[in-house]
Amino acid sequence: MFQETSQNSKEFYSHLKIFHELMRVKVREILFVSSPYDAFIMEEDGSPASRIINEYSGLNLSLPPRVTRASSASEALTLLDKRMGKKRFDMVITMPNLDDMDAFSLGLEIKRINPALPVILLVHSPKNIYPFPEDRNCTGIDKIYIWSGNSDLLLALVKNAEDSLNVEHDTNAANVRVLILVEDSPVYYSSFLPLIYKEIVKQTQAVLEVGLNEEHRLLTMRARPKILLAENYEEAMKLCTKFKPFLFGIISDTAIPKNGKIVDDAGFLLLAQIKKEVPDLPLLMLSSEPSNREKADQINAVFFDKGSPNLLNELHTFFLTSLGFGDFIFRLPDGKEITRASDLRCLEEKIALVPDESLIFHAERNHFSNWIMARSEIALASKFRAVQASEFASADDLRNYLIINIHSARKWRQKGMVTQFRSHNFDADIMDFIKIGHGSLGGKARSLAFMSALLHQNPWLHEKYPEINIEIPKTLVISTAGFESFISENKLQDFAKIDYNDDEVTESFLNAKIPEWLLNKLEAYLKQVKYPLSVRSSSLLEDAQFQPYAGIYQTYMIPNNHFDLVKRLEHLTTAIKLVYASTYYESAKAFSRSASNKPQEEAMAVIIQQLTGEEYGDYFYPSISGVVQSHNFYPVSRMKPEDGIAHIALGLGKTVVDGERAVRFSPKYPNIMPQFSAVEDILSNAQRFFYALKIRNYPDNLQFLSNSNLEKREIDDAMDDYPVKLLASTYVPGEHRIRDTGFLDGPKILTFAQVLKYNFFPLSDLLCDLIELGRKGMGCQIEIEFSVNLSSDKNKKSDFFFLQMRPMVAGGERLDILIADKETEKAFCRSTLALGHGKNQDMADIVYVKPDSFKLEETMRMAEEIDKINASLLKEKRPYLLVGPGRWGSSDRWLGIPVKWRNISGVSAMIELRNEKIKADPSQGSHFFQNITSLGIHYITVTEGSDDFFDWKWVGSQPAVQETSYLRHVRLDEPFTLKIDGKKSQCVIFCD
Amino acid sequence: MADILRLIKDRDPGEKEFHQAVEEVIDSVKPVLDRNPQYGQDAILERIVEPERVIIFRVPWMDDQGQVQVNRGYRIQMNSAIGPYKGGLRFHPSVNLSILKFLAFEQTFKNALTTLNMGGGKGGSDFNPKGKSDNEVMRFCQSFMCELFRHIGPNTDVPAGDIGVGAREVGFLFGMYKKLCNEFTGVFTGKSLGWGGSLIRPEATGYGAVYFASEMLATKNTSLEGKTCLVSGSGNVAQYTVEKILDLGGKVVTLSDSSGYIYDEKGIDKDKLFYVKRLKNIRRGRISEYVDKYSEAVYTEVDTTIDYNPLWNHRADCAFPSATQNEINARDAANLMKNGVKLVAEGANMPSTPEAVNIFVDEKILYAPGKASNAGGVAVSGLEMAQNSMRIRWTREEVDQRLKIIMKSIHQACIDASAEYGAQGNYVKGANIAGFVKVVNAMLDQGIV
Repeated sequence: MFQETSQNSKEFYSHLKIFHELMRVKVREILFVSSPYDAFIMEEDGSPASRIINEYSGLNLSLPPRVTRASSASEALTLLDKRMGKKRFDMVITMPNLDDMDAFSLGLEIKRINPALPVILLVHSPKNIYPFPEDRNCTGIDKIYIWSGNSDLLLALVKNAEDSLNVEHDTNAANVRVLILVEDSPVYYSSFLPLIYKEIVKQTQAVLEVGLNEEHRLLTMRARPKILLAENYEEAMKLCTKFKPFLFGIISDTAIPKNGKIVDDAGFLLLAQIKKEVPDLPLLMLSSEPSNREKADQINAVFFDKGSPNLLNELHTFFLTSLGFGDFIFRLPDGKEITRASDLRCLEEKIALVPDESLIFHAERNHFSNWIMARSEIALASKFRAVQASEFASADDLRNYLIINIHSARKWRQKGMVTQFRSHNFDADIMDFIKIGHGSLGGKARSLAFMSALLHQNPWLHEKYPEINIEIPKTLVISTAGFESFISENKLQDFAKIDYNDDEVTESFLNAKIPEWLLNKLEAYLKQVKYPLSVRSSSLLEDAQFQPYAGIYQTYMIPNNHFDLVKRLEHLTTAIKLVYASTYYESAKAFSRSASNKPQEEAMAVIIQQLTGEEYGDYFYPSISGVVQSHNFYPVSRMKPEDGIAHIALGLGKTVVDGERAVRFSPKYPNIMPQFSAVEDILSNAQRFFYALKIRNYPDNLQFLSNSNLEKREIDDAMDDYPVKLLASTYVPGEHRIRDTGFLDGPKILTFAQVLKYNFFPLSDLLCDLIELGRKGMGCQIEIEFSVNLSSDKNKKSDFFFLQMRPMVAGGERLDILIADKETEKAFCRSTLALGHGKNQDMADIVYVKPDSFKLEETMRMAEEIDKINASLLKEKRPYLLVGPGRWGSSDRWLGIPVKWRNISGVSAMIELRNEKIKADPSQGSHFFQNITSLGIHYITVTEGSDDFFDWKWVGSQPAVQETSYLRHVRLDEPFTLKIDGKKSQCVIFCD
Repeated sequence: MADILRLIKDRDPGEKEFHQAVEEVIDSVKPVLDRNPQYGQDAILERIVEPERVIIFRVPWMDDQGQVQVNRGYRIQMNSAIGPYKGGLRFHPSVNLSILKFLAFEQTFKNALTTLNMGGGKGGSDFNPKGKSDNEVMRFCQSFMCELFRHIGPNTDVPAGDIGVGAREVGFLFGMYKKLCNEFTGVFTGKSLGWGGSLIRPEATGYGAVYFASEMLATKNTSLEGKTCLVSGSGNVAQYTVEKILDLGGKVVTLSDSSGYIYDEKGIDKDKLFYVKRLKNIRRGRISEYVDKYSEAVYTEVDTTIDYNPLWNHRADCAFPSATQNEINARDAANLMKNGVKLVAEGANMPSTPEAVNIFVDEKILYAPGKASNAGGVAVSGLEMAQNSMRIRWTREEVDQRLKIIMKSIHQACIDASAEYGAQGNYVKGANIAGFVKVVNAMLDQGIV
């Protein structure tokens, strides 16, 4: 009875034709309107995005869509026009960052050319679009998605567009199932859709069992359930009615729009209504309001808390238990469970054994076909559905029929099985960029890949600077798969949900084990690689556009020169574990929350990179580390904002990143350094300490937890090292003069004069070229981290290494902000040096450092007080304006209040006062600052005694909610208005 | 006297800084004016408040972008009764005629007090060296000198540096002067060591203050030997004050910076001083690091909730305020008295508030006002001129020796003047009068010019 009939086989094969009929409408040609950087992510062959596309090829992406890129709106319109008729675009995806037109206007223009063409707006943050400008016609955009750097979304949005185009045909042709997601918030559907698609793919693939031939596997995947997105009650109802026979499940938010208004329980009403019509349908109700669980229970719907950090797991469970992806449960008619089947083979076996009444019970209710359908075995499912149980003479006939058909289907599938195997032919000398695991590279590594491509595409750069190696350091990336398997093997999932303190996280992660497969690869790697390494994070969220998690995660350096390979491996894995742990540190979570990402979305890739530098005695460090930004927020003298600004320091980059004393200059005018004008200024502003990696005489277990194995050294102690001698000047006390050479006797002062004034190494020119290149490539203002290794050997080239490139937010503004004279007149604060752009009417709270009680030596205590007020305002969800003197976030407590990001994470705007008491340079450049600007926090410098002002009398007359030793917190009845004209750097704050 | 104030206010309304300086000087020399009616006949006051010559000139220069910039240059040649005009050049956006006249007026008496032959002057420009490249600064200096050169000379007017004019600017200015005049002369002080500068410049103020203190102690037949001293600050002045005190057998127990102070009961010896010099000059660290190295010392952080400076509240014999303005208030002065301090010699500029000064004067301790005890810096400028004129370069020891002699004569001048005007031992009065009298007498001698 298990024999295979050739006829059956043929029949099944012919059934495959159905698959060919499915998913007829495909998005083959996408017009991607964006900066070159975004395009790179989707298009570049072998790029992370396309790898992910391949890995998820189960999603019917046997032919990934072709992407045509337009880097401006006008180019896009030309392409659409010219190609009309010849090459049709199926979809337009546009980013908001276009040079010449905003996305809404572009959408309208496109609709004018082709009303049917879907136009999707992909934004980096809801801030980019909300609130919609009142007078703006947004009908040109079909759907808005929020991209948090996860390439899955690109697939999801393409697939979702295809699904909605194909659903009608496919349901009719092959009974393909329909899953409806009802959700109105782009933030949530942008994160759910990829989750659902991923889960569907995973589930479908899981049930496909082993041994499908690749092509058939792909074809089979076409029959996966369709996912339709409805954004309001009416739309959802319409879809439900239309596809009622094919409904597979409904996932709905609770508060959704009904009749054009958000109704708190519209989602519940919707589900209740459908429940009446299709009683067995699995329902899932989402809500950020946990109390809605009761309602869900009323209609027997599964309930998820939207805020739960564990959504993915819960979704997974829902798929298994409710949507039929789990085991087939054999029951007796009275509901008693007899046995289970997890796959087709098992089903076949169990069917042979179960009692007749159970068999008939399931057959009559189409349970077999449903369960098989969930596995996309359309032919089989359809075949089973087409016959009625009553048609069989006996239960045994039915049983035989089922078994033969299941078996034939399985047998056929065994043909042409393909296993994937990737051999390891690692050669450290040749391979510059390698990856372990199938997951994502993460934002930082992706930008490294982009830079690598950029350098490759611009050979003129290498010709212009023949004396310099310009490259990225040799890189190994452990993809997010490593993280995921580490977390799941060690059962560390809880850390996403529960806020442990950093030490607890660290301890648990250090005690966990690196997965065996990963460990083996790392060992193979270390057998060849024996130079010092830096180990740092590359999270999915980090460095995605407009979300630099700059400096939030840790970087660890290891000497990697121990004679014992075991020891080296131990050092490397310790560093990796610590990087993993930093995902769940408090500051990372705090930042993630304030960037409206959910910590559970965070998956970490790890970049292991050759540390740039040279050995000097017991130490290893690069001559210069630095950060250059393409936009200068504080242009002084003749510098212009677009000339950019650089910060450089001797040694490893921590000096610059932490905002310690470093040299700041505009690459266009390296000769002009206002902070270095007089001898006294130079003496007090020059770098005193630097960071180096100790590569000899270090403790066996290194010192990961203190300074990531780095040692803080005084410039004075390294006077004889080549970079110090070369880059320093010498102070001559007898003449009170600084001479631009490090080869005299006397105190060494790091002025970098040889590089900046005498062009010993053309750093300024190179930086000018690179920011230009980067700005064009990313389509926005950028920030580059780099290091330079000056060769002391005339026959050897010096090295310039790109360490990182990420966007700044300075120039991303589109819509104009005008400040009226009337507004200036009634303002309580005005600034002519403000960062950010736009209008903010969310704040009614002002927290300020009382000018009378401000004392430079008390700044630490002020930071503590700010932390407390911040925590309470954060809890109340009240964004606030923070006002105080000096550099916010300076690690030098003598220059300002040394707050950390988490101490002020609830601010919406900050004012940095400069007055007689504190005249520090404005605080541009630190990583902290980048975080502030990337979150769209307005940063306002008020120089008292100039045209700027802050009305102390007015604010003092407002009643205080709270007053501490140094702070005063006032709350206005109505929110005040803050306006910044980013082009003119002007700001006013006033009450209406 | 009221007449002279009305006169200058009527004639130059708006020169507030200058008016104030004149008022203060005239106030401080009232006994001299009262005793010398002949000054009125010779219109001494009318003459002394009117600069001998004021030069205001255009300074055009081209910036790195090829854009021409214009600044205004000044030289106030205030008084040459006792020697060539002498005084610094200041490059700062705040520079204007009133400020420069005020500075030149004060400089005249400061220079006179040194007992060297130096007149008074001041100059500068509203040019802001901040944010300018080396080349721009050079082009500005050259343009500035293209006019100034015809008004100065080693026997006429010898400028020096001041705010915004350091060794770099002096070099550019001197270079252009030399080219235009085709002669290498000592037309500037504050030059670099390789081409005419003098040794002992960084040390001068600190050493000078200690020499002056020794002279004061000598009037009481004692010396610094075995004396416990409080020194504030940790910059050049403080460091060389400590160095000289140690040379002369004293013991120093404190040093400070803006963040706090250290108290080392065992005394800061030569090794510890060497450490401090490295810490402050080379490593540019904070004084608090001293206690990391020398655990016997105690570091006390600045506490702004208290209205006194605990540094001045230790048992000691002498105090050398060498940090900053107003660092000793009335309460600190009282604490010093309570702790047995018998000598205060100011190395900093005006470190004691007027109330504190009154306490010192009332208690009749040995109190040296800064204008006398920190004249070492000006003195070395005079010595630089002397070396240039003689085409000789003295050794450190020679310069130091002469500095000592100058401080001694400043001390003597103060003693004599105070005695002459009935305030024996009052160095405040002595210093005010001595400088003034010297200038005025020279003017009388030289007739109506």
